[in-house]
Amino acid sequence: MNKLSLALAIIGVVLLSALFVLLRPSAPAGPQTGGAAAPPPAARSPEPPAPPSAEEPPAQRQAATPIRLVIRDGHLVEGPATVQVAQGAEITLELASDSEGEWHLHGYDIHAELRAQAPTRVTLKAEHAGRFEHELHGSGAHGALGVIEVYPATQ
Amino acid sequence: MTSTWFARLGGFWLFWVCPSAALAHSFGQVYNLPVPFWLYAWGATGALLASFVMVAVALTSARATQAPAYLAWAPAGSRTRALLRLTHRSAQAIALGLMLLCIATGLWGVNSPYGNFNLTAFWIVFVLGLTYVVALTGNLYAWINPWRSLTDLGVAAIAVLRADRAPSPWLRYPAWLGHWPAVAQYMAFIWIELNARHTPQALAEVLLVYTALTLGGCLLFGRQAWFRQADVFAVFFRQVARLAPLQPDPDRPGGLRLYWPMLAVAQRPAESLSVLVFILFMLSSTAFDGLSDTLAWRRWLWADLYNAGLKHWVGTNPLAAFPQMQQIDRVWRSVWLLASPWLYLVVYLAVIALTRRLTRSGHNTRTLALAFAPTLLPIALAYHFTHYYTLLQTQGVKILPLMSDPFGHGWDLFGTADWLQRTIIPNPGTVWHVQVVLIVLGHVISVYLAHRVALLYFPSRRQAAISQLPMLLLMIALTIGGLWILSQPLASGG
Repeated sequence: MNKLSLALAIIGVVLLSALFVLLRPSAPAGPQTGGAAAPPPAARSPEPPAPPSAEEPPAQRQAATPIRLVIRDGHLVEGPATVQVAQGAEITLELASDSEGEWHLHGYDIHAELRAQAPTRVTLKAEHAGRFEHELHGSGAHGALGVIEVYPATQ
Repeated sequence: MTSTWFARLGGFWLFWVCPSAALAHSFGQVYNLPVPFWLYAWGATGALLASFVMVAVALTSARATQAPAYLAWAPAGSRTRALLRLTHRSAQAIALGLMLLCIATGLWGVNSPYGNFNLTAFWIVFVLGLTYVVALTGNLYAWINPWRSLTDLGVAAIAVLRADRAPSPWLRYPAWLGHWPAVAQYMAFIWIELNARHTPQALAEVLLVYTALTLGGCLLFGRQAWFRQADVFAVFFRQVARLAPLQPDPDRPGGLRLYWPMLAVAQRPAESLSVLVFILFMLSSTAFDGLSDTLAWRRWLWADLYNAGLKHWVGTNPLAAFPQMQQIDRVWRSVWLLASPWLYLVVYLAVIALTRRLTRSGHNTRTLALAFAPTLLPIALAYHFTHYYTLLQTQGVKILPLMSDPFGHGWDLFGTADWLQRTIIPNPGTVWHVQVVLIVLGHVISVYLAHRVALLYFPSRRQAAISQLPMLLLMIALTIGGLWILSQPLASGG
């Protein structure tokens, strides 16, 4: 590499870093681009630029209203398949199943016993950001029901 | 917009929770969130910007020569040789022991992915971990290949029994076969990774079949030819090792040379058309694995194609249609997976043909196609790493407790059985940054290497720069495509 190409390489790195700072949402100049990833729910407008996610607009609720998930034959038949929350939020899931089984949320490793016809409530604080599957064990069924996506508080 | 296609789906969405059995999902949970849009935009712009800078560098840099080796080392002196042989034999014995342990724990251990040693040892430590180690050091696999050791032992045993020299292969390896058996095995391997049920017992069975196939191939064509041409892992790790700083010394047997990392890639063209397809499948299979998890992909079959005509065939009653749609989904995925390298090949050859036309080069398309093929490896490796590396973090470390209790019988051989029991959840912010930065870096390296190859094959600097334009477009497409996949919302329940 001669001096000129070295200089060009340095210019490239500087430009990339500048662009990074510019695009970062936390920077004042940064455009908040809604798109593939959802911004934290707090910043949501009434008409969210919803990611074409899941089967219905993802539930983004506060702890007050429980998120109802109805399970039949080991499948989720009612309620959001993707629950999106911001990190630190507290959510309550209401799990209604037609059969007995053990409900398991990966990552958080929360287990709950489900009883037929009597919904079980699970409250959790979304401390860890990430994408967590929940599933049903037992009564022959073993499969993913849906996911909980916890977005970092500061993206 | 969500609601309109939701309406089109009718009642079908309720059953649109279709757990895929891909490795990352049924075994070793992945907690990754899609990359946020702004980072995707940065990565994509970064790749474009870096490409233009690279072209500018290309126009000003001097004529490339072969990458210089910085150190050449060969074992000298009888003590060094003896020590090296001892190390080699021990490493081989350990690798062979671990391979046999994977089979044994699969057959006689608990049949739980998390409780049994073999899935973590094989998929995470061997397939993922060793790939990155080989890329960063040298072709360690050729040194410790347990199946090679097995055939060595077999040959030694036969020699003792017959009091004879080593048996000669039954057949000559036909030249037309190229590396195609390795390509076929690689396709089967990735298909198993994405579609099979990952239980310890199933893995043991697959390993037994693979062992039988390998031993059979060695018997038929001889060890040298089989591991050079036809064995999937030998060919895979040899391609990955092109990126490594330590390369075998062609002048001195057993010697090593030290290069700048990645620079040795451009030294040798791909061995054959089959190796080119092999490299393209490294790219396309990882891309496909990522793509098939996205909502966009799922929607294509489950909503678009379903509404476009499938519903007349499988029926509109969701309860009845679901199992049939699942069956179609399985076939659909397999077809696309196996077709992917051929699609890449068509595009790649078109790019090379265009290059040849633009430069009026005297080299034929085949020569150029093989020469540039290895320069795609950094993109392939970067995408592979970003796709899988969190598994090393979350599941790879579990090898420590599993070592103490490989069969899941409650043993504690090394006192590590209770280690690292807490679930490790990587920080998504860190994961995003690592993913995007590595993909852009892999892109820059690939563009740089392609430029070096161009300087070797085209006489003038100007011609070399022109020759790079089609290739540059291809690499930008691959990089932005990879980033796009990472930024896509994922399908639920998959």
